[in-house]
Amino acid sequence: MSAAIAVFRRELLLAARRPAEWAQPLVFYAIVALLFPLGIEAHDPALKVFAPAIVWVGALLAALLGVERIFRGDLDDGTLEQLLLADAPAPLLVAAKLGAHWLLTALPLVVAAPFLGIALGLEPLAVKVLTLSLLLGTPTLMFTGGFAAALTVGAQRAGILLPILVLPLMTPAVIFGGGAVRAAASGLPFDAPLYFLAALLALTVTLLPFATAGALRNAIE
Amino acid sequence: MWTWFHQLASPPTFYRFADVLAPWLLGLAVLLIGVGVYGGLFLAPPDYQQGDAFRIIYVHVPAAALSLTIYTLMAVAGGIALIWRMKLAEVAVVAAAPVGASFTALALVTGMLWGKPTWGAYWVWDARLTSELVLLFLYAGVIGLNQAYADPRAGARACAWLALVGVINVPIVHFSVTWWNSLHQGASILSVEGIRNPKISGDMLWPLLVSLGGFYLFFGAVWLRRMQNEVLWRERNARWAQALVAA
Amino acid sequence: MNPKYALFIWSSYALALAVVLWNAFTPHLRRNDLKRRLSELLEESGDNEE
Repeated sequence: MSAAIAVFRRELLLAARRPAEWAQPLVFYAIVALLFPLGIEAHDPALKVFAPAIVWVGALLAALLGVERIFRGDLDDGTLEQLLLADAPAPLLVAAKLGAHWLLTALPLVVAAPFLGIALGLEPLAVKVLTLSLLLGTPTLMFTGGFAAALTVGAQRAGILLPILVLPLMTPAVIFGGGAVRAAASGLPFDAPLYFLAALLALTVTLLPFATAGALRNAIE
Repeated sequence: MWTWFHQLASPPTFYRFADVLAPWLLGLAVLLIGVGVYGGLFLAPPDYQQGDAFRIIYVHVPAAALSLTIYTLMAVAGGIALIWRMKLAEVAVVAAAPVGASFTALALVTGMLWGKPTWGAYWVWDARLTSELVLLFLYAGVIGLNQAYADPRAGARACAWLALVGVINVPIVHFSVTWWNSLHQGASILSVEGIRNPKISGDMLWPLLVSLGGFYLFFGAVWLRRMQNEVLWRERNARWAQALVAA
Repeated sequence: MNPKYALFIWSSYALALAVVLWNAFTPHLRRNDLKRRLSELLEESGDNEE
């Protein structure tokens, strides 16, 4: 357990030394979300209809930005091998690493979401559901992205393979996340999609670290 | 019997075994597909609602069924490859992916061609179609991932992990028509209820079953052939492979 | 029935045939290609040994 905490703290420490790196997804997110109103005419009601999708897809793309880097640095300097050789179970350490990454990359997106939602014309209830759906959904995106990163970190000719790998795995989160906000905006019940997001969260956070650790082990052999 | 299985895991034994089995599977497959297609196009009566458009079923359903089965088999082979580090299982994973992808694409396109006359739309973003599209991307991911690795064994194992994680999509595709409101037809044949109380008439069903069987056998033959190629490449420095090539 | 839809049915079967042929012949072509490449490799190493 202490090893997991150590890994967690190390991630935060490393990020603190390069604050620009983890501010990038947030800035990207804001730009993407705010670009859309510029593409449509000023008071187009269509903006409100598409706002849930815009904020959700923006969050997904922003989360994807940093994913490639999660394991690359550790692979290059040998930390990855140490992580996998440690006494503590590798899935636990992987989860700690991804949890720290979520805190740094995704949590700011969740905090920024209400502002972006209002800027895109969503009503208060939809904004609340949007924030909650992102809170539940971004860990799924992070852990899925981490799994895809683990698969490609060992590949020599990966190119843009990572987004191709990760997008099919992330679609359920986007579907339910966007669905929840759309339902809230239309006055329909929105608990079902939120429960689905929570279920995805439970599944990915508990099971994916095992697959991620396995893929990482494969990468260093 | 386990000895035979064990021996089969050896690449040269497998290669010879596949060389013997594949032509039979292919021959039988061609026969069954031919009979099924002929029956579907000319013998089965036109549908009361859809007229002749329903005949697409005889290629669409086998393609879709295969797309799911191949992915499942790929995942099973992946599990075996990861747990027992069996070289042949790794080869099986990599060999299955392109075949599965082609059938998924076929299922999607024939589905679109069937959807236009019957639903009035080529595509809808409902659960069944979206999850099948996701399946196509998963296959593409497996293919791409394998090519991205320089070491074929590491690449195949990475593909095995992707296959295992992605296999959760297979039950989603199958049960999507039950779990969500879908434009797509429910599971009227390949379900417990569908087998007990068939809603399709016998003279429409038999070409479908024959065609289905034929396509499955066809996949078996193709899989064996692709595995042989992969094995030949990987074992190219072994004596048995060089003897084979020199012959 | 709209005659355009007859085209759809035949196209579906044609596409299925294309997929079947592609799957049947690509391994075959790859096998020939492999055998050629490997025998070339064998010849090279045979020449090197001499």
